[in-house]
Amino acid sequence: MSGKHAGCLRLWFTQAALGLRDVSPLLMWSVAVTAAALVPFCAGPWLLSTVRDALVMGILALSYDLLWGRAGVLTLGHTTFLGLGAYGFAITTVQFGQASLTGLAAGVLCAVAVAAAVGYFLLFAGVRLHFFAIISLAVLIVAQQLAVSWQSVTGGDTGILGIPGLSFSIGGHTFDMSGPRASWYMVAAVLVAATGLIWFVCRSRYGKVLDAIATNEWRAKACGYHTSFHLLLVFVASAALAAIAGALMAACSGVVAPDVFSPLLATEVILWVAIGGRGKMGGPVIAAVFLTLLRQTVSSYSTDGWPLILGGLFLACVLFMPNGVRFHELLEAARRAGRAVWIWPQDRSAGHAQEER
Amino acid sequence: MGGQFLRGTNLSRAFGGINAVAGVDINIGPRDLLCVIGPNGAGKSTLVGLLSGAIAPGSGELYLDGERLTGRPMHAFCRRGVVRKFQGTNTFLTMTVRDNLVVAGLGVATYRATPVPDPDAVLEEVGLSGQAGELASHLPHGERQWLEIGMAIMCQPALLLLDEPAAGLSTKDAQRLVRLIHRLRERCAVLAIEHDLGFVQSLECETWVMHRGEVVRRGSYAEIADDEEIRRIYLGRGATHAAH
Repeated sequence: MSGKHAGCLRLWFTQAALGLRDVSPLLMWSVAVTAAALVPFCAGPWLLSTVRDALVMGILALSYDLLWGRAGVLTLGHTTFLGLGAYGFAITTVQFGQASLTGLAAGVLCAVAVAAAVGYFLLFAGVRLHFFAIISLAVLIVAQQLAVSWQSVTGGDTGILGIPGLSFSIGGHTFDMSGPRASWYMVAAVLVAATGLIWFVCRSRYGKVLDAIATNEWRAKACGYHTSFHLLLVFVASAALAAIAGALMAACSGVVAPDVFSPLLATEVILWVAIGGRGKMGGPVIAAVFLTLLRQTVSSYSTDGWPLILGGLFLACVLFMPNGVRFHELLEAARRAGRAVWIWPQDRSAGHAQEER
Repeated sequence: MGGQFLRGTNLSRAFGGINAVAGVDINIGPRDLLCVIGPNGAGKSTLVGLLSGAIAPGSGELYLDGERLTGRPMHAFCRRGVVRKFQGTNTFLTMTVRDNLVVAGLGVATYRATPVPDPDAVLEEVGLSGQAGELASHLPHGERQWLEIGMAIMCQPALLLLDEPAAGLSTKDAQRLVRLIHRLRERCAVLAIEHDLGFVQSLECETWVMHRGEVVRRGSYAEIADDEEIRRIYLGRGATHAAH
């Protein structure tokens, strides 16, 4: 039996030889690694921590891109797992005084358990598409209510304050990851590693299998795939990554409040992936970082402006860019718009000339 | 029919009070070729659904190689070699032709004793080598039929269920398909459901006629074509004209 599974894994995850189409993702990835390594030397502590928090949202976007972009599972409650990761970390470290690594593990395990239970009962029962999305929203609301009302553990509306930063010890050395520069490297390393890992998985034949299940699940079943199992696997993996993002968020900011379970943020996650391009990994991460920074800039002028901008962006994305922002498409659109502007005054002057005659 | 690969006894399935399939007994040996014909609504597609595990039988039992599979999910049937080509076309439209075959071959790879077929050889066999890199959605209907048949071959069938394989094919392509089916028969059993009687005739195999969910005749195509009652049920006026 185990031999069979080993053969299965080998068959599914063997990598094809590097080809031309791998050049651009590898290049992008290397640029990201270099940038992550160099930014702390040229940015001040405030900018560094702002961008770091945006990178945490990038990890969240990556986890949702795996789930929705790759496996085609739409949820409206992805922040459930972000919140579970954050609260798991905070409760373990503050209420129980455990080490931060234990807190991280507790947060991730908590999210994995909830995702596995919810996913098993829904996905194996054949619940898909908008039904799944709506039930996931209900799960999010339940989690939010729990965080508000279970005051003795979660701290109620105020949440939990004074969460310690990440630190771990290897071979007697203790690495403290709570400083602005150290926490930057921590978050950037997780983001870069997760992107690389997901890229490798999706590049193998397993990525094609996920594509196939997302495209035509019924046909995939007829090819012998236990599709519900594969969807559950992706759902749990995505929840685990979202929980890691949550724990990092709690460790970096030092506070966690019930608003991590926010339906607004869950909608924003969908927007990041939609704008960045479903299944494109790099795109959603960039969109998440950019839009999070934009949100912070906008909220410093007006607190009500952001949902309005968000809604506008969502509409524009669905209407004009159903496949997300593609750079060459934008160039093409700009070229067309430029030409229209260039030709229009000539048209008008031609019209004037006719009128005068 | 000879040895036993698939055995179904008293298979029945009703949809909202209509017996789509009512008490069909079926035995298929490892190299059998069988054709099922019948008017629209006779229950042919439901029969394929039952045999492939897509539809659970309301009553009756299904055995594969002696193992009871009644009510098991479709992927369990596929992993044991019952592979289905859908009516119409049903492929992974957003993927390339070659990737369609690769994905089709992977699902059962570890459950079958034989190695995964080479996708390029299968592309050659179904005549799609030139379109390997194209998206499945860009193929015309007839070529999608071939793609589906290729995907079914990739699943290493022991019993291939073909639901209207000749629909949308030209006469020339249909003859090519007949030759392919005869070649496939050296490896596996084939059950085909078809409307096109010319196609059935050129397969030269055992033919069953279904009517209102029941198998009303079993015999060679010639015997079936000569049967007065069958003409009345199915072959209809066209055949009566031909006989006159």
